[in-house]
Amino acid sequence: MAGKLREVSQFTTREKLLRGIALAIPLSLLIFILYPFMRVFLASLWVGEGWTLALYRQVLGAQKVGLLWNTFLVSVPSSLLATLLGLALALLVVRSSIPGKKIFNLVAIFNIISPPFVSALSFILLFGRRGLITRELLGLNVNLFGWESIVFLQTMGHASIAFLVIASVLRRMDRDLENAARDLGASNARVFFTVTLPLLMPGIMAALVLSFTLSLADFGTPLLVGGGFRVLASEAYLQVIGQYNMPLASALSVFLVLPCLAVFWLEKGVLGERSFLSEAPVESVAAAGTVDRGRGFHPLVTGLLLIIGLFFMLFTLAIFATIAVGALTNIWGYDYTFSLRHFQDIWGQGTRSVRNSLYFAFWVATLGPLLGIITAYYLEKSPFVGSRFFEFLALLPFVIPGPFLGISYVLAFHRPPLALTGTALIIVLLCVYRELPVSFKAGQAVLRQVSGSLEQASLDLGANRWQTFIRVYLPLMAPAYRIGMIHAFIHVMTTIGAIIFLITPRYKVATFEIFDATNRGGLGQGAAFALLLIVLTVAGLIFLNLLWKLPQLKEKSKEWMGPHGTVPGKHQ
Amino acid sequence: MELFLENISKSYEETLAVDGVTLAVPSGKILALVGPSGCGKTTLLRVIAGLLVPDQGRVLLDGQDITKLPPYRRPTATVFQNYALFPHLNVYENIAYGLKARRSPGQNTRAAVQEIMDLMKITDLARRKVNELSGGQQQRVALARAMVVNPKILLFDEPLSSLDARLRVEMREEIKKIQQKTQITSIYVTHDQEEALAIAQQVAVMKDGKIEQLGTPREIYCFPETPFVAQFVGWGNLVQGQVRSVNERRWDVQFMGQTLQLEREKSRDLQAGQAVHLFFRPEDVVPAPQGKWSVKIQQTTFLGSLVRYFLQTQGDHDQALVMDLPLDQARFQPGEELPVEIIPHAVRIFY
Repeated sequence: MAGKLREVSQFTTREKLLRGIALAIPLSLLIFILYPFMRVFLASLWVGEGWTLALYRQVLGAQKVGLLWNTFLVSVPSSLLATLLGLALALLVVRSSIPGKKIFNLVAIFNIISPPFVSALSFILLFGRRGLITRELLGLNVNLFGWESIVFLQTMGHASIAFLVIASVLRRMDRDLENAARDLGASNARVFFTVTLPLLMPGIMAALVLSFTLSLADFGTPLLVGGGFRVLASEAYLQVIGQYNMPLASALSVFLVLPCLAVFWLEKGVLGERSFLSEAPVESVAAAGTVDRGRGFHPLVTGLLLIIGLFFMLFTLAIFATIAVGALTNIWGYDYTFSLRHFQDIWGQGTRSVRNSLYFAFWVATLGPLLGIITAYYLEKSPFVGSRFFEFLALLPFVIPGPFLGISYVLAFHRPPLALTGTALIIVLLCVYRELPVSFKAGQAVLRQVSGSLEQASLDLGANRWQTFIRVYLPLMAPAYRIGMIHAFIHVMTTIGAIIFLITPRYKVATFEIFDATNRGGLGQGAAFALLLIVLTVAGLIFLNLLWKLPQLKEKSKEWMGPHGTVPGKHQ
Repeated sequence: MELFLENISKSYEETLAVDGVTLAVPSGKILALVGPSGCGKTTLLRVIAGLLVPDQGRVLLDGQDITKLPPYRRPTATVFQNYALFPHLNVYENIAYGLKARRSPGQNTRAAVQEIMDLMKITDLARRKVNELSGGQQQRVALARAMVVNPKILLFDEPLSSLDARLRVEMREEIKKIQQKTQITSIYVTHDQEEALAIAQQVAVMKDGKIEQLGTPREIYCFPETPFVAQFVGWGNLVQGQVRSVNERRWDVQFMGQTLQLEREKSRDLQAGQAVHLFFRPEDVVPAPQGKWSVKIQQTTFLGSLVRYFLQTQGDHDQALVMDLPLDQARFQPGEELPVEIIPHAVRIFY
């Protein structure tokens, strides 16, 4: 009887903990996502002692109206081109019959893990005023800086993400749908335009939205290769960093976030219901195996795709080669001899920044996904009034441009009760909530796949909700955790858009150093930082993967050792 | 339209899916390709549709070689497993797809789609999205979509596998009826032997990429040529035995401790002492007061019109057997022992 009572009380303590988390999750979404979000609007509307639209008038006014136009002049073509390029790469990798096509997959992943500004830095090294190609090889004295260069670099940079999004839809597409069309008398071209492309539309739209928001958020490329060409993001950055004009920066970033919300709403609300992925992915994979390689694209199409793919590969290789050479060259443009002096230059402050990057990335990658999957669990498994709204909040950081997010955190957390600016904590928090949508979405997908009777079965078998969560749901959501972990690590290591606004001299990160050095004209140092960061990102990913496999290795060794860690046969 | 497959082989990376199949599909009939999963039946169907190009062999349609013809130039239409209905099109657009692809004039398309929808009794579904339809309705749309292009050959790739048991039987009879009406030469792939026997005029049993036996449903069921076919189609008992003696008219075969006299088949030659396998159906095991074998009933299963008994022979030869009895003769209980006889002319010998 006594034993039973103790069991009951233990049960309630854990139940209390579950309830506590259930309350903490929505609360934290309100504090760390909604509140900063609203603060930006507030800051742009409340100036001095009253409500005013003066700042908006200023942005739309004669002096700045060019900004809006410039922003769209860059973002619209770059997102369209990036999506188109991503589509071509996806078709090449998933559907063509070219041997060794998997290499493009690797190229795209490499492209993604390379820090931003790296392509801009390479571009400057090759085509800038001291450019290797323009000046040394061609002897030209041309100026390639301008909006066209921004569009080009953003296209190449965002194509790899568009590629991954579209390729995943393409892989899961039921090939029998295309077979059926062909069987009914449609030629290959007709099948592509009447079946394949419409079915790919959700993926294409997602890629378009993603590259559009990334392009809007990008202030580094315009600053580095725009040659004075200003867009909303770079202007907001300059307003904060140069003049600490937070109200104007807020108003500018409101103009950044509105189109993002609009395309997000368009994609989810209008196209969201039109998901055509096969309901039985396993069977479609089996069917994919019975599709003949001989019936691929027309040779001309294959050739065109291959040329596009090779161009993309060449571009990526050129970036990395240029960075490596640039980091090891004495003085770019004047003295092309081997030198380690850039590494010596960055040694002191540099290693600290790189260590900061690793530190933030590690904590965000390990803790962030946990928040994501727990949030998914609460919102999916115990829906309450308004849980749709909290779901929206959890996904919101996905479309918020980095500068907006950074400015919002500065505004929200620079004075009590939550005076966090200047601490490492706020950078970690910012990154955790910025990465939340990835693990949240992945966790949600897992939970929607598993049958609802799973929880009933577990409860029916005598496990309480705590045990069900620990023993059933956590292991199920492990893959979602892993996805979130990898994404978070790569993003925190390589992005800068949001955290640049919160960095203090003590917590400088490596991406900031690349940007700063390049902006100052210290191309060699920038290249040295970039090279170091790439190497560490790859090493970190390998390390995280090993860490992930550790429990499995332990299991294996247990199997090998027999039960209870003893050697089989010697068990007493 | 007569379809002839000549020595077709097709392999994926390392596995040989179809291994030298030669097969004539009779004009205007349904031929069922049946076999366990991985036997190559779907691959063969896709070769006929043109979705796969065989590594070897030819596909002849009325004597004309169509092996290299792309699928959209072939007079074939397929009803796919899971139907493969286009999710971005409604029912009408799905059915009209093939006609539009063939650039049929608008008026003809509308008339043909209307006619086929009437035939399949789906006219009132025309504007519905396909993912709003029930399994049976999707099945009808898939069939209508394939038939509307007026194919010379209709191909069915396990079309009923995702329907529930009752609907499956209903749709099977409907497909049969429509085929008889239209007389379109049809090939029907299934892993369900009962469905194959029920729907087809000719059945080809496949195993490991080869055709194991080709025949009418009755031939396949009553005269299986290999132990595999015998066991794959219906239930049965396969036991080991030995030839005791051979004379002009009879083979004496010993199995399960007793000797049975079987009529000699002219086409086959057995030697005394030879080890053989014997096969007989559950309905060919009958209780008889003077029966040679004594069996004990382990378990009974009620199947409606008949009762299935799982038996164990008594004595040194411990052999599990299955016996089916009509309901009015099924009066035995588990644990009971009784003598049984095996009807000699129903026993098939394999060696």
